[in-house]
Amino acid sequence: MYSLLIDTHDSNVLFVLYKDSLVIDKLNIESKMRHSEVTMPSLNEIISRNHITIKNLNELIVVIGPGSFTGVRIGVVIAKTAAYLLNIPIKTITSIDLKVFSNKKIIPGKYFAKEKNGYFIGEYDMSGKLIGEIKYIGKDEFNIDEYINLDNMDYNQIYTHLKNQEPINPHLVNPIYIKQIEALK
Amino acid sequence: MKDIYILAVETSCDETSLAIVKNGREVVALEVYTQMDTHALYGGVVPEIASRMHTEAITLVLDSLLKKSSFDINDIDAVAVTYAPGLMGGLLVGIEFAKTISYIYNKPLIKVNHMVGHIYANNIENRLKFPLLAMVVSGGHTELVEMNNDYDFKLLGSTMDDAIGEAYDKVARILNVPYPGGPNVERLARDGNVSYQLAKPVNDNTLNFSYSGLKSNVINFVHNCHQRGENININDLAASFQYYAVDEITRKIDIALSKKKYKMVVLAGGVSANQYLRCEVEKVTSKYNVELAVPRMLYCTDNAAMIGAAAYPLYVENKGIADLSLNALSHISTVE
Repeated sequence: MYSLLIDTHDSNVLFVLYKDSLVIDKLNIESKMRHSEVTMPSLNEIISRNHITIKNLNELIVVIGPGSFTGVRIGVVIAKTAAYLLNIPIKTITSIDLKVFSNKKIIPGKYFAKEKNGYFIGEYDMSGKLIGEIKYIGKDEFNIDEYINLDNMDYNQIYTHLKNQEPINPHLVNPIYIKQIEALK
Repeated sequence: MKDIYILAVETSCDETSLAIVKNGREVVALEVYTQMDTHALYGGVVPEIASRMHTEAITLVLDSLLKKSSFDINDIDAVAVTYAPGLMGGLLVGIEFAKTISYIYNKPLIKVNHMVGHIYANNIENRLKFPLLAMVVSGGHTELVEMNNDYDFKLLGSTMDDAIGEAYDKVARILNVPYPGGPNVERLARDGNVSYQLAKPVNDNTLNFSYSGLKSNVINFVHNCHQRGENININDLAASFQYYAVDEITRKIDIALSKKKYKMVVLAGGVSANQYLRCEVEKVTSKYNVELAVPRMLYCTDNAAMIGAAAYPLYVENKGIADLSLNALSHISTVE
């Protein structure tokens, strides 16, 4: 059974390929925000270098943000379209969840995901559930000592935590937007 | 020859549209999901909201397209997508969607210029006859283009400043007319008389256009009236503006038709929905006894059927094939 995780929420494009719940390949490309030129070719690369086709995928996992509006959308559109057409389950995960789920035993507390000019922050309980809402704060407001800081994601752990999560209808997979739209400020 | 089915995708502005077009002419299925009511709340298209709504709608629109037509997506021969011009965020949703379909079913991906799509909208229920003269009028384009064959374009003239649709929208704003501005200015003009004398745009013998003078003229006129406390007859002002704006178009078409014999004049782009423009252009084409082609309303506003129609000659000639790294372009001429 093959699963593919798609993450386009920041300046990198990341794919993680799982076979039977374990990471078998990872592709992380610095796209410099040229996601539209990089994402699908990278998807093709990780699929073809593992000698499978996209039709062999049994499950998709997509990072729905928060992050770059356009960046997240690119991953989400590809993921929901593929899940719908291939008729396979799709699960969603936030860019902060990636950190929360990287520990075997979840450490409750405050987590963050860095953004160009600030941070997305959220507080999580011991089951890995978000308490309240994800917020956006500027650099001046951010004090790193208040947060649990992880340098490396553990994609095997992330997958294990996602096992309990129910797949959702591909039509309902959409990015989460935390920051306000510039034009409407 | 085998029938060719193209799945076409259009998301360049505020319509999420998908179509299946057979042999470039027969619309097997068409879905248009419009966001107009949402953008009307903000007085114009908000690009970020447009992108979000395309993302929410795109697979649902596909589902509806396939279910209503009972078409098996495995039977498509190619996927066509608008890659330019338009709002970047919106275009990208359609592009990534189209790439994914092309990749899953291993079908060629064809990139289509939205403005060329508007010209080919005339090949759906009518047939393009070459050589033809295409008048492309929209919010971003005012171009006079000669076509001697499929995809054989020659730019005869274009606007040196604002596009005609842009001028309509700016006049709508100064007159406090709600979004969508262009159609509402046209509506106001219907009950007005051409009683205000405004600046006539470029009065030369080239085939270029200019709208900034006329637009500024209207804006300054309104400001001066406000300052002097004078009343403006909005219907008359809309009618006067429209008279001068369309006169610019008909005059240039007249010059082009006097220089060369064409088999057809084609009106293309969002502003071609303007009834007054259609009537005035028809007066010129009948003077020269040339056929005028204007798509019916459904194919006149943004729709994916026209993208499928425009992709077909590319498919046949094996041109316009894009790979998975295709990116969007916000600005591009009809002839690029």
